[in-house]
Amino acid sequence: MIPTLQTDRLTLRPYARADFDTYADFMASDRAVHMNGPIDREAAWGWFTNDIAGWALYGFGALAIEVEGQLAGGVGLVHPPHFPEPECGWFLYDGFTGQGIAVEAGRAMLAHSFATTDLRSIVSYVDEKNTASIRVAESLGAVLDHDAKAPEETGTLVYRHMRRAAA
Amino acid sequence: MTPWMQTPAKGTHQIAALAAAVPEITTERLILRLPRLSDWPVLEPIWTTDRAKHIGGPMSAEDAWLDFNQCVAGWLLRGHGALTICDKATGAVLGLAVLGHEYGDPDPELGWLLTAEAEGKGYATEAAAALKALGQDIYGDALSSYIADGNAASVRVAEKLGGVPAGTHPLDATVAIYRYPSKGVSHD
Repeated sequence: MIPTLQTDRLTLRPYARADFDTYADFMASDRAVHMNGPIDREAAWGWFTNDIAGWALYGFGALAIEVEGQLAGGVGLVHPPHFPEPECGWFLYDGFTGQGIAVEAGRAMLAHSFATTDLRSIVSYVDEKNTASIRVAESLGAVLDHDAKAPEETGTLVYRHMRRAAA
Repeated sequence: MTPWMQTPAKGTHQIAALAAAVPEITTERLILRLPRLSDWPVLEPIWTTDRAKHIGGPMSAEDAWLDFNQCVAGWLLRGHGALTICDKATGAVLGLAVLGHEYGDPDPELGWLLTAEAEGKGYATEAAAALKALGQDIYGDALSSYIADGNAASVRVAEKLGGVPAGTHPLDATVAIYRYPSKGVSHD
C-alpha cells in the first residue's frame, strides 16, 4: 500500500482529497513560477492526481508533508510522459520554507524510493533561477548532470541522486 | 519502449498490494481490474485520436495522460476509480470503465470508454452494468453519466443501463446528464 514515512520532524503520508484546495491555491500563486506555473485549478487537479496515481501505475509516487499535524508541502517521484526519467520533486507551502523541511523530506523519500525500486538514479529538475531548490538538491548530495535531458529545452538544471551502498 | 513506459522491476510489489485492495469484477465476457501502465499504449488513442471528439479531445499525449491519471487516482482519493476492461478469454485490453468524479462535474460519474476495435459488441454496457451497482451503493441516485451531443452510442448504453435524461451539465449545455433512478423510490 502507499507508505507513510516518519522522520525526526515530519510525517510523509498519502495525499487526501482534502489536501487539494491548499495544493491548487499554491499552484495558482506566484510561488509556482519555478514549477511551470502558475496554473489554474483544473490543471492543478491533473497534476495532483498524477502525483497520486503513480503509486498504482509505477509503484512510486508522491506524499504529503506534515509538520506537527499541519500540511506543509509535498514530495515524491513522478514520471509524466514529457519527463525523460522519473523525477523527485518537492514544494513547501508558505510558512514552512527555510527550515530544512524539503531536505529532510527529500532524504526520506529518496531512501524509500531506492529501497523499494531498482532505479539506479533519480533526477530532480530544478529551474536555474530557483536558488532555494538548488540548495536543497545540493544538500541532498545530488550532482549536476550536464548530459541528461530535461523536459524543457532551456532553463532547467538536472540534478542526479545516485543510489548509495548504505544510504 | 520509452523509459516513461517502464515500471521499476522492484516496484511491482507496491503495485500488487494496491491492486489487491481494488475490486476485480468478472462478468460473462469481461474482467475489470486496476489499470496498469502497460495498458496505456492500447488506451491512449481513446484520448488522442478522433475517438475523443465526445470527451473534449483529441488531446495531446500529456493531457491524455493526466486525464487517465485522474481516473486512476480516484481509488486512492475516494475509494473508487477506473477499471481496465479486459477480454476474459484473452486478457486483451478493450477500454476503461470509470466510477469517478471528474474535475468540474456536479456529481459522481459512471463512465465508459472503448477502443475503436472493441466498439459495437455490447462491452460498454456489460462493463458499466457491473460498476453501476457499486456506484449506486455509494452515491444512490446522484450517480450520473455525462454524454456529449451526438454521442448516440453512449446514449444507447445509458438507456440500456436504465438511465434517464436529467438536464444538461452546468458548465456545458451540450453535455447531457443521465441518471439511474432506483426502483420503488419516488423522485422530485
